[in-house]
Amino acid sequence: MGVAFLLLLQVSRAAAVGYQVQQLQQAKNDVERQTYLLEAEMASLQSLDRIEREARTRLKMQPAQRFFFVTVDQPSREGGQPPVGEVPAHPWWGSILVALGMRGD
Amino acid sequence: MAAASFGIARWRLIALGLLLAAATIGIVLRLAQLQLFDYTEYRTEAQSSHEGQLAVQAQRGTIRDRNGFPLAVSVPVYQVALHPRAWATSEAADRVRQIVAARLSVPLERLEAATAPGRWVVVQPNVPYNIGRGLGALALPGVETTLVSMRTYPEGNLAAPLLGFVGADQEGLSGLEADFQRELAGMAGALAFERDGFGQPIPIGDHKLLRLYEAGQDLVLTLDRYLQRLVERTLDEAMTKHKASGGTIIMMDPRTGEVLAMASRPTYDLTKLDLVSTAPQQVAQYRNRAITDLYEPGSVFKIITMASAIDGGIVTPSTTYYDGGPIVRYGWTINTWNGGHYGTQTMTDILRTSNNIGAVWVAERAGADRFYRYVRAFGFGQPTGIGLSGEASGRIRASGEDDWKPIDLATNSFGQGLSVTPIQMAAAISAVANGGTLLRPTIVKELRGAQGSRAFQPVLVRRPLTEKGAALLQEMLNVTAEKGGSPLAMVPGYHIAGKTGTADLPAVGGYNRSTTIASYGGFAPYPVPRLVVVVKIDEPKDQIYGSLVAAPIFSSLMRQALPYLGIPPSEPVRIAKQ
Repeated sequence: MGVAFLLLLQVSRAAAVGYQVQQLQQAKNDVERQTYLLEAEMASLQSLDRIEREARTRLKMQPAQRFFFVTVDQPSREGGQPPVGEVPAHPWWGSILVALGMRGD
Repeated sequence: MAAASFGIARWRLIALGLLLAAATIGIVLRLAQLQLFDYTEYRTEAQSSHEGQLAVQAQRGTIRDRNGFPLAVSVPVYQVALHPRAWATSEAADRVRQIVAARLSVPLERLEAATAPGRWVVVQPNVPYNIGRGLGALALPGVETTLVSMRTYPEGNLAAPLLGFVGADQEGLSGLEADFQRELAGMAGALAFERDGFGQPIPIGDHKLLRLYEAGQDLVLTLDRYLQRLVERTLDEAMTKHKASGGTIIMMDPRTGEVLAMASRPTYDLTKLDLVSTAPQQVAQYRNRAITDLYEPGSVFKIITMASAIDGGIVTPSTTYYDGGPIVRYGWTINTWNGGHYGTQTMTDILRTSNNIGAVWVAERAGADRFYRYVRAFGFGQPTGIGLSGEASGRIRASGEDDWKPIDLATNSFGQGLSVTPIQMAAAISAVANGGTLLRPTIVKELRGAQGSRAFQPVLVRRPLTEKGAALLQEMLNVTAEKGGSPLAMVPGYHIAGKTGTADLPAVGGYNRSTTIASYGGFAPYPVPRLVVVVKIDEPKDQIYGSLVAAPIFSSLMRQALPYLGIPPSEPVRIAKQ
């Protein structure tokens, strides 16, 4: 009797888990499809036609009529790296944390 | 008597025994056949009766521009169909139709009319995912919701002939969608499951993944959506302004052979496809004319003629010849495009004044063999290998070939009597612009998938021109563009190089003089070219010359494209007015 009850419990449990797995699989698929939809929506929001429409109607912008090009006599830095020494590597408190060994450099 | 009857009974027993033995052997043999020899067949049959299979559709890859912006993307949608026979009563039918009509926002009358014949019918093909899913969750009798995929175009109709389209089954039918079908489609997966008497999956039953689906790869193009839109808008405006029958514009990076924009007209609307119509006019619009259509290039081809002579030092930019009037070759009179004659002219003057007689003189100095060797070396008469189906080779009759006639050398020297594709012309001008290297035009930059990405590198085809020859030719084309007869090609702030073309259209027995193909091929900024633009306008009605029709388009595109690409003006400090 006990063995039969145990078997019944196991079968019932297996059915419940199977159902749960199926539900989770469906939820995963649904999330995946929602991702595709969001990507498509993002693409339509980024479209050039929409950007132009928004710029013209909502932001009242106009196409540039004149372009100014100014040559700067300072050569550009390779790779666009920030100039050394001008931007501190850490804020002052960051340096203290590094000195105390509480934060990696 | 008794002995006789015993004998009969014994015989009967033996016969019965033999019969039983034969039946047993028969049964054993049959069982052996079923369980040993036909095992697979019956097992498959048994499985199919209680096992269902589900195709797991792979998401089709996205087509993106060079900066990653999607041009064609697939989204999940539902197809909703109704089974009128599943409705027991007319009240039930009304109730279902009302709910479906409200959910799909369609008139109830439409559903009533669609279901009136009593057959299964698709009432809405592309229902937004969330609406379709909600309708399916209601489990209404006789309502079937099927998850399918739909191709959408965030940039609208941009680059339609190049992108192509897919059919209802999401198979690519034209353009890149068809050419890269295998890469874009990926591979559908398959799932097997045990089903109950109603065909529904049994939760605790076996689920076997027969094949894992493989999502399609993303196709990253060399196109820049901003430049593509600029080119298409400009082409549309020009078509309207000149009442032209067609046109093509290509923008190319001469350093890599990458096509930055490619537009042709007439075209079709990707967002309102009519896949039912097979009318020739409709189907013709699906062509990517930049690679499939041939045209006689006219005077733009003088660039190639001059290259064949200047490269080996046969002439120099300052070599002179005397233009004393029309010339006659093999019974044909050849004149300048405007009937004007200029006396002593340099080679640069020939390009500057677009002198047909001068071009003939140059080709004859180079000689037919050399001239056609250069024509072939620049890639004319063969597909460029851009990787798009339907690419035409062009038609070149070279000396030594059966159908070549001596007059061909004269007419070919100013771009008549031969045909090329716009993409060939863009590749050839790029070769002049980049210092003499013919690169294979590319339209696909990269394939991106879950397994990684595969980038396509520039492919060097050959070197048709020496570096020195290219530099001389660039200089001559700079003078041609800036001091020639096409001031409308000028780009404020930038030095340019280029050549106009006005070609008569071939007709039966000769040429149609009343209409032309107006073109311009050039590059900027000179002397460090970064952008090649080829413009071709078919049969303009208000003006016929390349200098008046195509040159202003070249100028307008360069004015906007060069600043967009961050290319500074040729002068150190300059204010350029648009």
